[in-house]
Amino acid sequence: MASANWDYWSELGTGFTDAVFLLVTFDPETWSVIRQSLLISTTATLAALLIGVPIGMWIALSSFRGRSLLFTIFNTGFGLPPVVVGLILSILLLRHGPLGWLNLRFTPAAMIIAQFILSTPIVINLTAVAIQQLNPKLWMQMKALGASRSQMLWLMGREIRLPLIGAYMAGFGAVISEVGASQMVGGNLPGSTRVLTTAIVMETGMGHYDRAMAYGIILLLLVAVVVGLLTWFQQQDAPR
Amino acid sequence: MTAVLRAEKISVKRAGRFTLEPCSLSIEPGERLAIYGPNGAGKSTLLQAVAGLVPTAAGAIAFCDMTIGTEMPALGYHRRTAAVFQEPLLLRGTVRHNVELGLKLRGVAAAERTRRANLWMERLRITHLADRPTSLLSGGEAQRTSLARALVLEPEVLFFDEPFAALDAPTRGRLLGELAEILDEQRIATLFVTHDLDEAAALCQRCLVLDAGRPLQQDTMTAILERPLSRRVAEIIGMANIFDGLVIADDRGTVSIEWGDHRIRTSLQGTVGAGVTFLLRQERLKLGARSDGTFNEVRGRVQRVRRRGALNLVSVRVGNPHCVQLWCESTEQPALNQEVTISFPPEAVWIFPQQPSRVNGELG
Repeated sequence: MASANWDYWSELGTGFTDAVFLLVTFDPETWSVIRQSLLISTTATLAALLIGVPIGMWIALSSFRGRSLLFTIFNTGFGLPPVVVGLILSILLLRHGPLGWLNLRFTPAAMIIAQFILSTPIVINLTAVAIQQLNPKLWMQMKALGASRSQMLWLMGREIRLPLIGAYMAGFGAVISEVGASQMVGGNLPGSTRVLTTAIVMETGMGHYDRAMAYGIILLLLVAVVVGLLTWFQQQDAPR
Repeated sequence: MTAVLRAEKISVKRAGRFTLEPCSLSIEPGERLAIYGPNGAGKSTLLQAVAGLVPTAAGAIAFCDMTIGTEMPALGYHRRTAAVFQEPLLLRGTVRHNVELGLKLRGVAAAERTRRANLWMERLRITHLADRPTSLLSGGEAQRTSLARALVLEPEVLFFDEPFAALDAPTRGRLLGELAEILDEQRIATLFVTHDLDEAAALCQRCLVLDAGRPLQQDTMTAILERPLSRRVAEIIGMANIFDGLVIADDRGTVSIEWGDHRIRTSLQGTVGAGVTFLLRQERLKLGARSDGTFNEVRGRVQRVRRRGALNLVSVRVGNPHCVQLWCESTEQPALNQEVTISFPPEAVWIFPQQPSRVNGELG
């Protein structure tokens, strides 16, 4: 009993030192996973920012029938279960499915689409809330200053740039640590769709705790950096 | 001289109700018009409508004889005018960024922007704050930045919406003085919303009195103070001694009014038998009898004496329920309940040209 317990802890300790070794020696396989992870999630969230910010601004500023319904629908996306997104996207991308002709199944592009769908509602919501929290009279002042419509949107975007960075990071943090949809539409192909989360699931399943731990450490570090930056920006934003 | 800005019967509706009833005004080049009224009178609404910042329900605004929206696009109008609101409404960034913003929006070259911003930051004494983030400014500094941001544009019309209302009294006094100096020198046509009559009098030649979304009187500052059109105007500008009486005689230009137990004479016109609302001009009332017979004399008892600076505000009950208020030197302070005579010339009685509708002398 005592010896079995000791084996367990020693194995875990070896796993941790091996993980650090893989990282500091720039093990090609490990770094390929990290690279793909960053590439896919960054692309997906940048696209989410590009589409989500204008939609968020539009929702916050317009007043039409069904506006709050639309906002609610977008907010539902906040709690969208990743596996459901993965399932729907997988079905659409099947060879004989409606989007089968795109030949995207098990490609990084499919993962980017899945992560885009997951992060866009977050960006929309945080953009809309940031705009709504601005002093409404600011718009009148901008108009009085002689800002054209597009200049006004630009100024407002600039005014909420810190919440926007926050929105980006919240979206990035959500998709880089997501596994369900990535696994289903990506398929965990090495060098292509194998990312940190899918690799952790696979390596753990195969009993390769050292690699799984190496990926886990990287993922934790990335999330820590994201949350740290987010907090820092929010502190800059806080009124002094 | 032709008006630089003219509003013809503009009105504003919110949720189907008028928040501003049809209202006209005009400002000549270099002229400053105050919009004065109590809280909720619709002053800001009128200013925002004239500035083209809120949609109007009806009416037209003409700037330099061009109708806004048809002959001149709203953006072009906004780029030749400027506005300062009660809140400074500064954007994130430094003071300099904010002061230069309007010029940047107009596509003014960087060197010219810097030159003009420096000039106006100097003028408003905020040069030392140029690189400070706006989040670190005090209320007065922020409002100076907002003023510089408007003045740097060299606008043809300036809109002010109670720009000093949120500042403490010393800061307000200083800024008011500096702004008056700048406006005198620049001769910019100005629309100035305020609920402070002293502010209006210090800055503006003319005044529009607004109440409950309705314009009541538009005239020179002096005319409004000396000849208020109606009881409501007199009340809004804070005048005391407004009473109701009955015209009982008209003797060759001298009208006699029966007012309670008293008879008073005025040089104004009136219809015999008609009820009138009139004002006793506070500054013309004196304690003590006058020997010549031309003055009105009213007796009463001192009810209250209040010290206001170097003067005393004395309330004299001259019959139920009328109480006359007048100023007197603190050296000639009457005792409470002392019987006194108030004397005043016929010109001290002002009959409002606009009388409320009445039935048989009673308020209808």
